[in-house]
Amino acid sequence: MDDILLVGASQAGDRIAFGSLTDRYYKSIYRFVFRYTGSHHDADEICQETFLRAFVNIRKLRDGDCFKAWIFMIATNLLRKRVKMFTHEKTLDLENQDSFVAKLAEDGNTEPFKTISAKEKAMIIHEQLQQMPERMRLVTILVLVEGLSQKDTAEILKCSESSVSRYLDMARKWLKGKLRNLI
Amino acid sequence: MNTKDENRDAIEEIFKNVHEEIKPIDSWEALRARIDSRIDNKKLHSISCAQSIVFWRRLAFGMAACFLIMAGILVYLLGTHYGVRKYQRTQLVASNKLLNKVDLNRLSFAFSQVRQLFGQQSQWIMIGSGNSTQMSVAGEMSSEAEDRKLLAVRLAVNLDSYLLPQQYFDVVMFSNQQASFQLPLANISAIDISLKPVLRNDGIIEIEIIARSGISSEAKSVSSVVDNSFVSLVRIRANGKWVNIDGTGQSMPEI
Repeated sequence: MDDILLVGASQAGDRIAFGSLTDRYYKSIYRFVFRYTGSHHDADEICQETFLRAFVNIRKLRDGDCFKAWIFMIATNLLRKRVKMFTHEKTLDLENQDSFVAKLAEDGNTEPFKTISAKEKAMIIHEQLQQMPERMRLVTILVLVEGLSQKDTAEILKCSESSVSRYLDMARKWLKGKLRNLI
Repeated sequence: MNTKDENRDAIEEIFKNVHEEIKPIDSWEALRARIDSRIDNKKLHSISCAQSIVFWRRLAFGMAACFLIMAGILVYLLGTHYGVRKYQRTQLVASNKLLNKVDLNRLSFAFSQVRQLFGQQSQWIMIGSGNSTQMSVAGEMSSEAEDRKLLAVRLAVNLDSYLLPQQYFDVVMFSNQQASFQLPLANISAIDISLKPVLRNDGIIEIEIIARSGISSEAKSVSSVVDNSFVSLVRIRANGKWVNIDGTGQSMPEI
């Protein structure tokens, strides 16, 4: 069943249909928020709030095909609001990451990413993302990781598609520059 | 695919793989349950809010209705109280200002003096409270018997919105006569009056009056005087002010 049908049913008050939509996207939303904030607590809270708001406002969504972009837009708005309001708690140990990345680069290993664990990779990726400017970071997560189109991303971030494209290029160069010694 | 593209793909692949590793502290199922719980709580809260809104709306309507009823009762009571007081005051003034025996004797004496001047004709006399006096002979007389019914008509004149005392004018004339005279009033020009009182066989006095001010303002009426009280005769516009003329009539002893 595609999003359009599920959204239509949800708008008609079908709670099970909305549950299917939730099943489809709640992991992505959680990961997206966590990837941005680095806090499980924030990710949990914002993920719940996102689906609650989607449930309350589902009748306002005109095009069911845009549900994914719409739900990410809700999450992004909550995320920005949250970031402005609170200095959130970092669950990852960023101090140790700096030394970890430096150590990997100094080891002389030609492809250190192949030798380290998934957790270590996650720490490095998170470290690099945290250093990115906000917009570039959001574009990176939404387009490169979540696979949203540049058009949808532009809509979510309320900017033009060309801006998204530009941010994407900048993000790729940034990551390449930061991770070139590790790949 | 060149090295540049391979590097880019490798980075994105690492990104995606790392991203897939992200999990809640407890489990996905627990998070899913929390989302459902949050939505269910919201639904309950919404229902509760809706019920609460209905309750408060009904309460507000009820209170508004009560307020309107109370306001209506208050207005009614005030209006009634005011009306009663005004009526009582009017009655009091009216009863105070009715012609008493002394007045009737005074008027009777004055009329006898006038009769000496005009002989047996159908004369009339008007004596105002400001000592203004007019007298003349009535031209019209419907029956011979009427000259045995002498009437005293007291006119009470007041102006709307002016805290001026009422002015009284006493007219002594035979029943069914028509007298024309002027009411000299303070603050406004004189009002021409044509007055014709009739003492009916049942003892009730009927007053026919025509009042004129200038060339455009005129009012007339025929009213019956009951229980020796003042009745409203006419209301006329004079010099931009409303003038109310009330009146009462009493029969006088035969002379």
